Amino acid sequence: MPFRALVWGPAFLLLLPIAALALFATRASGEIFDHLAETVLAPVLWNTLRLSVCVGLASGVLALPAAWLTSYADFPGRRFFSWALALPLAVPGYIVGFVWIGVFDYAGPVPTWLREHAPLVAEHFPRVRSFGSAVVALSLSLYPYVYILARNGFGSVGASAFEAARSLGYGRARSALAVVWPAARPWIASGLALVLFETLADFGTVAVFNVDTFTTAIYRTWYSLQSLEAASQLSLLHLAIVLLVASALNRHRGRSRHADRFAGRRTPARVRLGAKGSWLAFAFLATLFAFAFLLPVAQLFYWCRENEFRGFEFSLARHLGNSLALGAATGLVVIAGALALASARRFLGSSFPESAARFATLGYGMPGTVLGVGLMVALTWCFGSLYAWPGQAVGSLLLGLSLRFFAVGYKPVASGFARLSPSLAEAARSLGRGRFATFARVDAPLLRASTISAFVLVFIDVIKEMPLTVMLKPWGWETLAVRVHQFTSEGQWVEASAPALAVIALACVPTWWMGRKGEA
Amino acid sequence: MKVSVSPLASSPQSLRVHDLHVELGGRAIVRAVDFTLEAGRIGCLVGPSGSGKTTLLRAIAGFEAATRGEIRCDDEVLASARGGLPPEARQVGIVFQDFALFPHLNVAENVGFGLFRVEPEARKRRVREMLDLVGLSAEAAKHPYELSGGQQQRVALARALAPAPRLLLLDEPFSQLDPDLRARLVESLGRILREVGITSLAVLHQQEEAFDLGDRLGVLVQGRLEQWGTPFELYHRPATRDVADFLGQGVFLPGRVVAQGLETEFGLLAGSPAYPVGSEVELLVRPDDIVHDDASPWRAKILSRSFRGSHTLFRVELASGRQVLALAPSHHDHAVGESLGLRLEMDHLVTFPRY
Repeated sequence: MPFRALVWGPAFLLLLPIAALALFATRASGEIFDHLAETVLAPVLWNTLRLSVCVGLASGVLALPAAWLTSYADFPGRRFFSWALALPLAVPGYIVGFVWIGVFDYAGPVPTWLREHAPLVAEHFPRVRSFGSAVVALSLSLYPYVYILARNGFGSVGASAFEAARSLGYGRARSALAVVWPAARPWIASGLALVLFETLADFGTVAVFNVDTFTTAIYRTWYSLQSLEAASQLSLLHLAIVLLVASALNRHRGRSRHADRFAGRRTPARVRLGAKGSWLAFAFLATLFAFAFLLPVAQLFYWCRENEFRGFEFSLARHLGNSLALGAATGLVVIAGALALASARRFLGSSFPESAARFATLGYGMPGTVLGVGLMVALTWCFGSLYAWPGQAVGSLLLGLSLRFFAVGYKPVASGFARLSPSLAEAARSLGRGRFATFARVDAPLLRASTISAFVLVFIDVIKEMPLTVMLKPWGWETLAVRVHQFTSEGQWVEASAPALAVIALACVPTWWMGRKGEA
Repeated sequence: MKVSVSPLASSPQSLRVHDLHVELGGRAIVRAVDFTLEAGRIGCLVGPSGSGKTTLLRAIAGFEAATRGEIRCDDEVLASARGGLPPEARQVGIVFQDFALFPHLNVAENVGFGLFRVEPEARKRRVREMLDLVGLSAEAAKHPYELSGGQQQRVALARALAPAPRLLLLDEPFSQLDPDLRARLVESLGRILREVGITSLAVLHQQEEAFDLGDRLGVLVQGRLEQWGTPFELYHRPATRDVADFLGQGVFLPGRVVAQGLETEFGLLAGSPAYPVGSEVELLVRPDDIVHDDASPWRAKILSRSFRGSHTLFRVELASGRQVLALAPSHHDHAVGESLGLRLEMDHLVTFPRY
């Protein structure tokens, strides 16, 4: 049945670059790879692993108290923080990173001030281009994943669950442990998994801090050493590590499942914090918000002014337009694919191959550099060159981004479908409407909300995405993120501020909108 | 309230299901089902959970394929093993168990959904007519979530009837509703269906509802239609033990066929059981077959009683230790533990072979 075969389309498109990577890597000569293995492989492996562990831990340490406080406690500013703390999702790690360097590097305002007023502290001021700084920058930009999902998990616990625990003789703290933790754990685990994947895939932040990980090693092998063979060998290795982590997480998560609602809809009464507690909570959340959002935005703004807003000329508008167009186009492609796959899933019922969807959504775990190298190899093989026909480069960039973020759009669409009772579509059919009219008149209007949020999520991710866009973009065609990369790789922080501010502004609007909607 | 309903389409049509088999995921769910529902009649299908009732209904609506056999409305074949019309081409209306009202449309829009081929003026008129029919004219602009369960059911009914289908299917239409409401709703549903005069087939879980609603009744057990007939026939002359078991209350008393009738714990019962003399059989005894008679030599001990208003249902233990149910007018007041005189009074003997 051809329909069944079509279901495998997205999965097949994703498998293509992976297969090309595997074939190419195993057939290529190992000269450059041997050289790399001797010189950089060990530090790269070590950096990748310790970065993942440290960022995961730091994100949890930042996000969990914040989520607990905004979910269960009452103190001045709670309403503001509950959505504002999700905003740093709009500030990519590479922007936090270069702002951090601009502010705390030797020539930056903080060490300069310290040298003048407190020379003793200045002498012991830590070096900013370090592994530790990369961990801080990544955690500040990635903690919102854990924060948002942990809040969902905490919010899923109804008041009656608490009351049941209290009536069975559990104290306040023990009921929280006995009731909240089991309900929230799967959510928190999902958040941490997202942080891990993002860290493994991060390119921009580690590049800014000169920390060598797989992504930067792959990029340099391709860009500086001009060796697609060695790059694909490194990519294959990186992919293996990502898959290893993914399967370990999957095995862990297989045992616990998300429950939408845990004992009732009534939300538990908030704990009123005392004066001291309120101050501590406020201070903690304000500091977090300041470092993750206010500081980067303020510093970027300052640089823009210092530069007399020179970035804001015609070229910025062009790059902004490119980013918008790329984000919107990818969003549309992903939604079309997700709707097709999700309708096929409903149409085929139990005979739908779930593994087709699982394969198709694997792209989210694939680092942009790995997918970029894989696509280059695959497309060069298919067409002889990356620029064989006009528009091919933009086309492959669109394909790459769509594959990379397919899962981001598929999840909300599929869960939107799952919420529709199958009898709704059957009712329309029994009333004489064909399959397409049913989709247009019943499914589409009911799926509007989940489709819009799918589009927005993909859009944000594409605006922030750096390595895949940098690798696959046509020559002379730039987006905001590409500009940021070009300037920061030359250390031109001031020049990078305008496109960086534009990235944040673009990503902020939908993040803020979704956050408010979630709060309502 | 009398509402005239303009027939948008045809006069009622009969439904003929012939030797129908339906498989789901390789498992036979409906097997060799065969029945005819005459035009304008209301048929009810009952049976234990998982007996294939809903699958049978969905096959008639076109949501499941027939692996063998045939479904026909009058002379048109809706489905056979060679395939079938898609659901939208069958003109078969259905009221779903969850009502499946479109949440993004209001009541009038829901009812008008199937009238897309009708020009706007006529559509408006038809929607108004349908809402009058189900008594929801005042609710036309409301959204489904603003309605009570009973109102939602009536909207679903109006929506299914609006395009004047040749056949109406109802999938457990009362299961989502408050038990207190059911009796009233069964009656009003029956009234509406008869008023419209549409051929209807309902899957029901409660046998009382089937007795109230149906002109014809069928019992499905493990995908087989055990019997199809009037409710009276099925209750009083069940064709199989499963039918007897499923419909109404009752117990089976062992007996032996003799020349004059049947020899049982309650003595010799006159009649002509359909088995040769000497056969060991089981006799179906309904609570209303057992008459309270203080003069009777057959005594039984009352184990429990449940007051039913006009009658009282006693669970009693016979001398053999076997338990039976007995229905007595409720002015016969007897306490648990007392002994009760009983007599069997049966017009005909319903017997099954004893294994």
